[in-house]
Amino acid sequence: MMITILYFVYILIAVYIGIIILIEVFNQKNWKNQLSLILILIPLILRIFQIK
Amino acid sequence: MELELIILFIMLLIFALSVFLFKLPSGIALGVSATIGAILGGHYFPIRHLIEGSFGYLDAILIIATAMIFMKVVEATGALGTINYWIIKHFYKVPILLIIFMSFFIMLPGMLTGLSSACILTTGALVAPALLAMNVPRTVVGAFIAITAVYGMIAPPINIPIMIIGGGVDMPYIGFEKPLMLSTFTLAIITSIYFRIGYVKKINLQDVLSQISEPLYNKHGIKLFFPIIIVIILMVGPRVIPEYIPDIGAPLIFLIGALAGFGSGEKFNFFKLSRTGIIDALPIMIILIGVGMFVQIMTLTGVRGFIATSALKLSPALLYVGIAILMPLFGSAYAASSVLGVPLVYVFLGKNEIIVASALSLIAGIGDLMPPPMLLCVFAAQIVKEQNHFLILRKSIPMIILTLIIGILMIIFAREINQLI
Repeated sequence: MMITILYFVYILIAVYIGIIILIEVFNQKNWKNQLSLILILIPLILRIFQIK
Repeated sequence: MELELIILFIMLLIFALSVFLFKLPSGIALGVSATIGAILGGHYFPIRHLIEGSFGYLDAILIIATAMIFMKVVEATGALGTINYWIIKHFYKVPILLIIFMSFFIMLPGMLTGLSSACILTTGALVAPALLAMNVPRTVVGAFIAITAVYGMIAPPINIPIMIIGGGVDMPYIGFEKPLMLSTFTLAIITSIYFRIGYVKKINLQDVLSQISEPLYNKHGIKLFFPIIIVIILMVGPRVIPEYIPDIGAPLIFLIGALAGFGSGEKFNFFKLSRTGIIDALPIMIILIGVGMFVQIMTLTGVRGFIATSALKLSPALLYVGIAILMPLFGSAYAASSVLGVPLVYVFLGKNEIIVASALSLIAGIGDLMPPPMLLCVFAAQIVKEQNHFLILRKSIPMIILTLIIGILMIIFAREINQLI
């Protein structure tokens, strides 16, 4: 039970961090920072949607 | 020449060119070199492996992101500023103790987050004005903060380089507290004594206090420290009384600690601080993504196995010298830990692996000071307003050499140290 709750809490944490990173992708002016943020976002999105 | 050696050489060359020539962030440079390495190894464009690799350190990325949010909250509430004020006010009469406690204070964010840059951007930035007010030269203040930040990153409870090494050799992150505390705190004390004797002469309390933020304890009381207390309880609790406090994981602990900041001190905008924290941690998070890809492709092409077997063939003396020189030259603690740290644990099988991994993480930690990225020197230079960050590296050299010697001695005497502690 607790493990299931923790699992979903961690998905929520990943969603929160993912949203912040997504916002920063559009706010950053430097393309290197934008690319870095997108590369970090890929595993987060795949994990949030349980694809991997 | 063996194919694996050619691939390794070209991957490192591409990495160096990407960083030096094209000024790419280290993480992206690692990803580019990994892609080219895979193409050279006959795997074309291995998108599946690159994404697989980027998952390698997702846990560490979550820890870093949430820990940075926590540190930003604790800084914004005024808790860190208050601790800094107290340390200076209570220990200024005994400068040696003052500098030692300052070094421990700088180390604190690194201990909790596993990030050296967190030390410089939070506690380092608080301590620097006080040290400058003591007439310590800018470059020396920068060097002191930078080298102490390395010790903070390596000190327990969170040590990401060891987690990286452990992930590669299937070693759980348990039992590292004692060797890490022994090595890092001893080095921090020696560093403090070195800088105290060399550079801190006379302390004028009023000059120093005028340069730092006012304490907020009288305004907010003990609740100012609630976030820090909660994080400590949730981290230590599962080890001391596991039947009452379950281990909920570092990212959740840091988020609970950050949320506990509401009402504990000065007001803050949580979402804004979250954004600042994540942007500050961006250089490190992208390095972890790049390192994951790099390691995945090294494994895919057989380069990782090649490094391990080649290291086994080296004579011990050459091996120790090689470790002390090559690991820091990776320019990143995380990159050095994954590329060299993992195979080196196998090389020293039979010695105590916990002590060996602790020593390797200490040596790898020096990489954060080194070119090409010189991340800590650049951050420290910004804090002390020094144009030439190479001067900060130069002032750090005596402590860098001492740290490398301690690290190598820990590997050589791993069994004996294990019996002692």
